[in-house]
Amino acid sequence: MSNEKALLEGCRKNNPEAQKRLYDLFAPKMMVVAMRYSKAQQEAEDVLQEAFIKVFNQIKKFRGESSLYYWIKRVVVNTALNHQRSKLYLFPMVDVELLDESDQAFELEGHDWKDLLNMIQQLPSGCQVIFNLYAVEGFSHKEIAERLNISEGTSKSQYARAKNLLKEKIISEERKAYERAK
Amino acid sequence: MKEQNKKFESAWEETFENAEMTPDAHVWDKIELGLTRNENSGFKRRILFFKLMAAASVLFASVVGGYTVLNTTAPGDTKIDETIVLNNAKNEEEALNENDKNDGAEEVGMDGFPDQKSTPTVSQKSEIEKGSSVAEFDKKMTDIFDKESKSTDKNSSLKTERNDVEKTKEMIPVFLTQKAPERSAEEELKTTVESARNKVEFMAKSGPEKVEKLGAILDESGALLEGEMAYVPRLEYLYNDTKSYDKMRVGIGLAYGQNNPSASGDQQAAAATLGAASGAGFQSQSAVVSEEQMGSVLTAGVAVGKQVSERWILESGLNFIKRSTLVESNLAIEKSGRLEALNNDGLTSGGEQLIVTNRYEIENNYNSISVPVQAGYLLVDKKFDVILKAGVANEILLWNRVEDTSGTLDGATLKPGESSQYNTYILSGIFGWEFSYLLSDQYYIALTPQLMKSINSITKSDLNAESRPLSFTLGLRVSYSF
Repeated sequence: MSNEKALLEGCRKNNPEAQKRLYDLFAPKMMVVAMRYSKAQQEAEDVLQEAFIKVFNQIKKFRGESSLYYWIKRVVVNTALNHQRSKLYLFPMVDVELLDESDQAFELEGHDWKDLLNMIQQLPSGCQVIFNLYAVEGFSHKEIAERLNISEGTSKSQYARAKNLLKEKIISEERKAYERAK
Repeated sequence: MKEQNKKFESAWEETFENAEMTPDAHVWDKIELGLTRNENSGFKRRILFFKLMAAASVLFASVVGGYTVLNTTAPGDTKIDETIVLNNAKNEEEALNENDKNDGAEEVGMDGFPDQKSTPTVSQKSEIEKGSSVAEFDKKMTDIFDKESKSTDKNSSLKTERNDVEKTKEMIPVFLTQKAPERSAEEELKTTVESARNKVEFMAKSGPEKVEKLGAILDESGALLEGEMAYVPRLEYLYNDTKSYDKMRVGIGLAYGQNNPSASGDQQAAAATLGAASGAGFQSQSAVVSEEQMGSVLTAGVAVGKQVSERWILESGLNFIKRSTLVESNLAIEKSGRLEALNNDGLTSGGEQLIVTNRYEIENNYNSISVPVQAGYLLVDKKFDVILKAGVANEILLWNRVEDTSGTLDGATLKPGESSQYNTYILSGIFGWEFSYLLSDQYYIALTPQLMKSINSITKSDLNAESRPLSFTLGLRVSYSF
């Protein structure tokens, strides 16, 4: 923690070494966050670059009420959402029909996070954003609706659609693995 | 079911909790570059701030200086020597004496200059000075008439005496008018000044009198002798450079400054729209178009002004304006095998394609002609003029030039019109100052700091971005007045 404090002080004074150390400390985890909201690595790197520039420019405003990790993560998520806004503008989210939820139980154990990340990236843009915000970041549908300027119903239906698509994908992958093992 | 869902969501959260992925090394390089750019733009903003502060300081000094000059009528105190006053008093007395003579003549019924015969003789004066009144002379006349009637001998001496008494009686009014009363030096001084129709009383003092405002004591329409004018010159005449109205002023000028695009809107969405226009297959998620950054502005033109009243001026003219802004992007237009800097017009005909390339800097130049119309108020109207101006400028976009600052990609020249992303007509508000100095009888040189703010957006409303540039320029103008 004292190390983090020292880093904070250095970054507030625009010390380049402190900035680099902060970046090295948090960039790997934030890269995964950016990847979850993007379709390709280059897009995620653009999000990461823009987010860290914002972090260093606004670090003086960080009051220390939450941990630095969550503050930076919030900046990365917000930046990713801004990048997605154009897609959301071109392809606005609407209520979708709720598909029958699969009864099959399944586990995520045994699936590498990279495979799961790949599955998330293959979701439609709107579903991808809402799934990340609800399932991974832990926002409620009400908070998501306010954030994205959509209705709560749209958020719920898009999430349900994402979940079904992911479940089908996971089951399909497991079936393929089973077939290969046979 | 709910439990299953909860478990599903927790599983995803746990999966990515410790996931890490090292980004490419160039990401940090770009972050460093971005931080450096931000510092520079902050520096540029500070420079602009100090420039505005300098202009405000000059403005403040001009207002204070102009107010001081307008309210100052004489340098230091001006004193009138008592000797001069007394000499003047003497002159006035002599003039009065002349007037008195004329007045005396009118009273005895004679017009024009006084006649020798109407002047009382020494004996007549002595008779009158004895204090004899008209009534006493009448009594004398009656006594003489009685004596004449009683005397049988027509004594000519009685007749002569009667004539003398009659003539002396006639001289009484003449004598009284001509006789100057005895006065002390002080009373003489007072009377002289009062009779000269001056409103100010000079008291005989040992020292010279201080004069607060020359203009107050020297009445323009007063009956002052020419000699007095030579002793006490009117200082107002020294500042006789007031301009007459109905003067025209024509000038040519050059100005340079900073252009802040004041852009708002989502550039990324704009890029996505552009990508959509490019056709299927374009990866809009990797497109980058930064916000427009501050650039420069250059104006050159002629100005024509006319003074319509003592303090007001109307001015118009014709200016050529070149504004520039900077944008960073990784999009380029592939056209006939060549790469062109990003511009909206590049995708008008078939065969062009929008591609993602390395990031580069685009300089966007708007070239337009402007017809400003403004009113000016003369705060200081001396050899050094200070004019406060405000008005509007009507701008017509001539062409827009987009260039890669590194020179790697081709530039593009875009004409205004339906396909252009810029409005052809822009209305701007102007506010500025003119500090001019009279070089010779008719030539002026002037410094013209000015602020110009676009009222309507220079970008069309169907785009996601709006831009209402704010420009600050400092100009130099040479004018001819006729």
